[in-house]
Amino acid sequence: MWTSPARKRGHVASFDWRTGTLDCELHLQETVHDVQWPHNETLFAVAQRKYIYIYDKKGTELHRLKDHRDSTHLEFLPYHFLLVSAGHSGYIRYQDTTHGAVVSELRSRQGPTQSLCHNPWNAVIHAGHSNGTVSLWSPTMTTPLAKMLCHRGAVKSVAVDRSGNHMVTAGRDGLVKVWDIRTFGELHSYKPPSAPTSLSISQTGLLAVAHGPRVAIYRDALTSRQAQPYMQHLQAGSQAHQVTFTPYEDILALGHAGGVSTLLVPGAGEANYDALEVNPFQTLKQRRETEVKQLLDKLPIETIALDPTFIGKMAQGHRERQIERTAAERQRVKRARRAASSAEKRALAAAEADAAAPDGGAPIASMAPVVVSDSESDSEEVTRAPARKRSVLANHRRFLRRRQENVIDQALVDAKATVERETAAIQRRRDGAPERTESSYALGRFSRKH
Amino acid sequence: MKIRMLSRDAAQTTRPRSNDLPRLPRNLDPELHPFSQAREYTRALNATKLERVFAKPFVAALDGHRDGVYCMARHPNHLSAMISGSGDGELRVWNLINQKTVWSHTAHKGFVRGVCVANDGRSILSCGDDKAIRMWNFDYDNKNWATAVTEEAESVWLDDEGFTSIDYHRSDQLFATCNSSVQIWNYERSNPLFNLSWGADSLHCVRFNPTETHVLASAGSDRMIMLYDIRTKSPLTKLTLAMKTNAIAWNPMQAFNFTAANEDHNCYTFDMRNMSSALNILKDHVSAVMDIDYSPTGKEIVTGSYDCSIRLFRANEGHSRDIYHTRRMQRIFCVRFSQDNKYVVTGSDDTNLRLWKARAAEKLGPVSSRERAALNYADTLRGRFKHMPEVRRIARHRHIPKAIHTAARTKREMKEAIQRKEDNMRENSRSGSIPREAERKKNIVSQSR
Repeated sequence: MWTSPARKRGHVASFDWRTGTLDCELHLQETVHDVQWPHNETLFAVAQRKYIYIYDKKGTELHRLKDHRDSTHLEFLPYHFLLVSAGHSGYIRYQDTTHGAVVSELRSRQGPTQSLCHNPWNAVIHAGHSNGTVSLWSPTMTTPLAKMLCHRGAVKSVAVDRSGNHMVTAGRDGLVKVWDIRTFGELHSYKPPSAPTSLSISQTGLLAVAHGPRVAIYRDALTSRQAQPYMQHLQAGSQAHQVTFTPYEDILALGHAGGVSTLLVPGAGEANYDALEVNPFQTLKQRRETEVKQLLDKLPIETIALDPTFIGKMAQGHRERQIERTAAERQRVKRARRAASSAEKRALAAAEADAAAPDGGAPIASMAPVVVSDSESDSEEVTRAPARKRSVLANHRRFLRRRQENVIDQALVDAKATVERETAAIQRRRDGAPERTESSYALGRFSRKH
Repeated sequence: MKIRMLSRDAAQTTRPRSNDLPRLPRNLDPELHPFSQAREYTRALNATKLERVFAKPFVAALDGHRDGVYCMARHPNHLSAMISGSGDGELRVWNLINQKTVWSHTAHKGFVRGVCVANDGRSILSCGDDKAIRMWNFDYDNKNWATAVTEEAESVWLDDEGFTSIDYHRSDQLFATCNSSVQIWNYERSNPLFNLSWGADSLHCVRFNPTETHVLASAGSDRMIMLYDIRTKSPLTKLTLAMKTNAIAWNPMQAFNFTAANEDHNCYTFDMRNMSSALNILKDHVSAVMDIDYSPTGKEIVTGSYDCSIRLFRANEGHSRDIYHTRRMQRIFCVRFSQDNKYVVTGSDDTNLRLWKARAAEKLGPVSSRERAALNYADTLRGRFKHMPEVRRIARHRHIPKAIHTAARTKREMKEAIQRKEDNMRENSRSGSIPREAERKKNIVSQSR
């Protein structure tokens, strides 16, 4: 394991925490906001005052990412090789570290990003904003996948657990709230004695909250509300800035004004690691092999979605579309048959009339119109579409009533728009105004109703 | 009070000796393995692309004949022996390992129409336009094949007409030839044991069933396929198709099934017991299919066509899984699957035999166990995701020679036009007045016992 505490005055150090050997020390003379390790320990990315710089393990500057301006938070998606940055500009940028191109630049439109976190289960980025909302982003969509109103105040820290079930947010209102991301519902909330600044969730589900000079660690805090923390630690004389659990170890790293402290937390780390996935004790050869295999398995950005298991499944609405298609085909065949048989009957009648009156003088006005009843064929049609019919407006209103108010996503926006449109239409009909006025309908002058 | 803590020791995870296997503990909890579907799909896509990268089926061209190669025979006991006969009457025995001719001789004056090897592997029989069947002794125990075959034919049989095909019985010392009827011979007798005939037209292909060894199939120029039984010394059934059958191959694993390579660009698989409908139709060629052979597993078929391409089919699917072609390869007249299911040998009228891999991306030579595991994994992934659009597009992409591509497109447009007209007629007429005809019965003209 390697850690690299970054100071606001530009002092970055990278060292092996187990042995204490220092790899490199940089005095950058400018503000450093965040540091992130990409796929292995040979490189690290530093979000400095203006740009992001990538350094070698020994401290050699390798790249300057000038597309990422004013970034304050960095995240790395390991399976997609994407370095994500968010900052003062409110832009969330995804950079592919294999070929160096910026694959996506998303405007969050919520002002400077206050906090950033990635969901390890589906690679969705959770960004916390100053209006108390957390928005979920995928690089392929310019609008957020979902927006949740979490706090009355800025969201200072966001954390997501390993299984992608729970999200924990810390707000400037002093609350720490636990959310179920699958249903976007709040589970419970805690109020630490002072304002929480940083959160971390361990691999086994322990929650560490840094507030003031203290760190409170809760056990089973995600599934049920805990009355008291499992452990507490007071860092006398300084504020606890940032907490991070070390993966695969029972250790919590705490960054404070005096440096970095490592705390022992029993039960925090995953005891059984899978060496073919992440090997904490890999040799040089194993690291090289793993790097090659990871690059071969690099996932395309189109696989990032709220449900990562969608690949290989049938498309939504496929069965309904099939039913529609077969129903439409049957209607068409029925109409054709009806037209054909009525034409036939007319032709037959005409032939008879002709045969009866070979001089062909009398018109066929006396012939009764042929009515072909398809009632028996109608009754044969078994439509498998749902029988209960509600109006569009009623459906959407019901949907809005049942939805939670604090979550905004595409479905909600569409439903609201539909309700507005339908009520306006009903109002217009009630007032007796025509469906489409000439001013609202560009080709109104050609309409036959006028 | 005892508190349990994780304490990992780096010494525990390092191996004691440098040639020990590294210690790799596993944890199959799905939380430690996220994105399983996406990773498998990415690996499947990469595996498909690699399969296309390594798809180089051509192994070698066997050069030596001075006229087109019109018939070939496998040796039942040697994988590397192949016997071919050409249009100038020359017979050659090839060693496929060195890709060199081991023995050659002018066997006939005129075309060599058929060649086969006796079931014990000790004789080669050839028949030709000069109305003669010649038998050559092949010394099985002689390692030097150049001297294994005698210079002069051991025996000669004569008839009034030129012979068009020859095939040996699976176990008995009998062989069959055909011209205007089928003759069954024993190598000890100078006259045929008996003749089988049904109708007067000429036959050009005769094949013994390798499993039901008393059954014989023949194809005639009057578009007929005839089956005979040599126990009763009489014909069994006769099937007339719309166009002439060029070659017949029996399925070595399914006793009653045979496939007929037809002039109408298709191959029809029939069950001998019920020939009112074809079991399967293999469609992809754009010209007459000249020869057909089954793989020893009975699951794959190789066909050679007059359109200068070879196609490989799976026995139960209707379209080809692969196509082999070269600019230097002209019309193909004979194809054989090797008995280890790995190679395909083809003879064409550009005087060359060509050796191809049966699976284009297969690695020849020894494959280590790790490599085999990786290849199996890649195959399984490709099979699991083969329906996904990107994977499917890459997997079925083949370069087709322009003539075949244009001909296939024209054929498809014409078929669609005919189908469209038929559909319109059916829609605009009384229901039931234009009955639908099964594709597998369409080309069968008549059948009689």
